[in-house]
Amino acid sequence: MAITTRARSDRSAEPAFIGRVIEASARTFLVGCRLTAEDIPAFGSFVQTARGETTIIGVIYDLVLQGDDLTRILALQDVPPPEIQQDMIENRNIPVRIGVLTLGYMRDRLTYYGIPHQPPALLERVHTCLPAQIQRFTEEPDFIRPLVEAREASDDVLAAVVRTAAEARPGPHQRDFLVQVGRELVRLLADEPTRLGQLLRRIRMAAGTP
Amino acid sequence: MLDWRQVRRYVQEMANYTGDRLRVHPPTLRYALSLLHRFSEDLERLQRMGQEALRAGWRGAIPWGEPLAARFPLPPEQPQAMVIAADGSQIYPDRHGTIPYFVLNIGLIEMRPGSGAPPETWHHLVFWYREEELFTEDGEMRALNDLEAERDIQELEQLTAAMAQRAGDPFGPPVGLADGMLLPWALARGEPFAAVPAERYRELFHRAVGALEAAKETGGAIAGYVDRPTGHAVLRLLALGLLDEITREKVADYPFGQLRDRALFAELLEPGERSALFAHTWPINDHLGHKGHRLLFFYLNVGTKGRPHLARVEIPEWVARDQARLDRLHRAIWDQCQILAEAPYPYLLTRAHELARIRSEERKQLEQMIQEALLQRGFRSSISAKAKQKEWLGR
Repeated sequence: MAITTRARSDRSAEPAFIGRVIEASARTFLVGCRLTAEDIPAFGSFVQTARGETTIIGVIYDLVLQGDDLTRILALQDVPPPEIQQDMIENRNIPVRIGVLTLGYMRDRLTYYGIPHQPPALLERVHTCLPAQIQRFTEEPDFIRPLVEAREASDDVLAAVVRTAAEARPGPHQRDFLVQVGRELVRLLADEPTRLGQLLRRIRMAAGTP
Repeated sequence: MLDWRQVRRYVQEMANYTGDRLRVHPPTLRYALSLLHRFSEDLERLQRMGQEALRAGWRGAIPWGEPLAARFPLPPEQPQAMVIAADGSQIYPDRHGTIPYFVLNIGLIEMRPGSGAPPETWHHLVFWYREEELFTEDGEMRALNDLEAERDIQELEQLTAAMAQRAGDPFGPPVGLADGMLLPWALARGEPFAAVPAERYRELFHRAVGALEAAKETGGAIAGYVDRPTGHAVLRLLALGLLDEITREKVADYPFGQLRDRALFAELLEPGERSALFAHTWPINDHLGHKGHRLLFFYLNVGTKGRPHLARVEIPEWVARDQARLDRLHRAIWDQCQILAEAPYPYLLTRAHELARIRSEERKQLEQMIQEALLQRGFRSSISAKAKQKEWLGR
């Protein structure tokens, strides 16, 4: 039996498989994978993995594209041919290391914010979250606290997370969501007015709101 | 586990032995080079001697009609030569595994240089699991060299099929590149040594001819690219030229020590230049010749000034007879090698290999998938006791 297939990214409505956990702590975990540049998820994307019956939810705060020998040899050229650059972007599965900050977890249909009892198991599969899952997880503004307190994630990541969560909602509900997030930030950063002001500006820019 | 005391001793011995082998004796090289120039125009005599020596068991290279010491410069840039490359890898059936199966993964990539468009990639997957696919009529599992031959012939077939799809493409005729020899090794060795049944050998031959015919019809060119060739067929021809009579003993003599063709042509060819064309003396080549597909080869220096890097390029005779096809191929290989100039090797062959490679974690994932599929159907399959032992011991 023989089958021929052309290389195309899977754009189905299922949560997309990203990679597997290669390192895990209570608050963060690393995902190792090989992806084409087109398929690499963005900063601030929501991802999910598991520990037994628990679904752990996190957001991407760091992405490292690891060059391999082929990349290094090509980089020695003054100007690599455009076809080769395109090949690197669209076709090649590049080794990627993704840093994920754990925001909370779901068990028995309930959502909990904060760190789970145990980190995800090594080599556990990691998938993206669907908009409905993101919407459900961010119903309460409590998901903001771990982001505000995290040393790993910059405020740019926080702004990207808020934008992603807003986009997971239908148009009319996006503004309500942003207002809710803004109130939570005011509460959490009452002692840091400069940071609060910068963060709110970033969120406005990221969300494209005036 | 290894007994490192013993290993250390062998490694030292091996390093001494290899050092002696790799050290090219300058007088021998100069001598061989002088013979290449001396016999350069002696083509008819060498062709005659070659034919006679074949009957005495000699194997080497037959001059195709170009002076032996000729150097052909890099052709000018070819407008719009589409390049397609193919490579394959496999998972052999494991009789200690859950169930035996054979997977052949062929990676193909096509590039239109100068277009700015990303290369197109695709896979051709062959999955054999049926009794008639994996076992011979006497119930034995197919031999590895038989499966290797299948991989080689499918690589060639897929490459020429891809070329055929692009025949008449406004971008220009395709150049097809295969990794290594153009012909399956089992075929090149000849029927008595192929270690496959005669009927299977004939089948492979007909499939090879069919594939080469398809490539010819495209108006393009096809080649097998052999990196770091270790052959000494041309040097054997030079040794033959020294003989005053052809006898079995004399043709077996090789006066050039550890010297190989690669070192000889590294001395002769400037970067970008190709050597004269030669014909292989494989017995199968005569049969291929009758079908119009005799295989020839030339050496090509894809290195830089002071750092020669020699490849052997195998082509069917119809490529050699058409200057436009030959030039397009010559230039395309050079351009491909320049993309990875630090380690000159055709870029698309590197990528085809990457696409074809089945990584160890993918092998494990496939095995797991098979076990799950069997379990869903109520079959609790297991690996053999021997395989279990190996797994427990971490292989």
